[in-house]
Amino acid sequence: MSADDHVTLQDWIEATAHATLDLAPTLGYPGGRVTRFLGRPSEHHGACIPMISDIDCWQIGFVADVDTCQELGRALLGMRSTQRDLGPEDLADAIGELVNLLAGGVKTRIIDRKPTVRLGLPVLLPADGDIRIVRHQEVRCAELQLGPTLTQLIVFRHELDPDGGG
Amino acid sequence: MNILIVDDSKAMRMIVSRTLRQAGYGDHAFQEACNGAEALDSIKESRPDLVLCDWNMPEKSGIELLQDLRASGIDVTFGFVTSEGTMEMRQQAVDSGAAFFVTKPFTADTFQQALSSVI
Repeated sequence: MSADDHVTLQDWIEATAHATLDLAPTLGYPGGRVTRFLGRPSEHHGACIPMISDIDCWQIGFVADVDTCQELGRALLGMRSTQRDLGPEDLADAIGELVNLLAGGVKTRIIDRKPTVRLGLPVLLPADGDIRIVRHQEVRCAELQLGPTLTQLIVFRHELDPDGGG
Repeated sequence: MNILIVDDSKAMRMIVSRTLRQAGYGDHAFQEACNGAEALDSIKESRPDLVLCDWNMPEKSGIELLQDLRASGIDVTFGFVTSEGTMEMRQQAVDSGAAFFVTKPFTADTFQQALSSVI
């Protein structure tokens, strides 16, 4: 029997929100707040990272418009004052690292309830269309104001054995 | 002193370098590697004095790198700089021979506290 507890989507999105707010000083922002909860994300640019336990798999991350991703990338790299856009590779790297930091904070918050959870590597989200929710997936989204930015935090949950096969 | 910074993120390697300078370690020489496999080759070739390494990387993870180094008899001073800071990982790091464990995000003060005993 797994040592993991079942953690709800709401628990995960709240942990993700708190972990993101904890990053405000690192990004040079005074703070932030959750402005509302959404059923699914409406933005397309961003990244997510898998978090896998013995009983389920989650993806957590964030999406935003392209200008906000640039702002966040510059903030992470200490380049906010330049207002110069990062190149595609540098932006992807910065966004990937940002979601990595976020995931570390989330893991710290849920490790007592999910002792088997492990982090994967960041995955950039495609910006060419809506994020599709497929069978056996659930999603929760929270809009977060962080300094001057407005991002959408997302949590996907996948059941590892939804059909109960043996 | 030669310091090797190992992280698959170019952004994080830059942040580590910058923070090391802010912490007063700017007089040392910095080298970089983007994963554990590349770092292992670099360490065997150039024998840095200190390795600052991420944990979760493609090709070879940080903990795998450390274990390979110790198994090869290479006792370079090694520390982790990682976004995950669970007690289990910290213990595994110590058991494998790590000298320190820094959790991201970090500050110059964090580096000073972690590195003061090794530099």
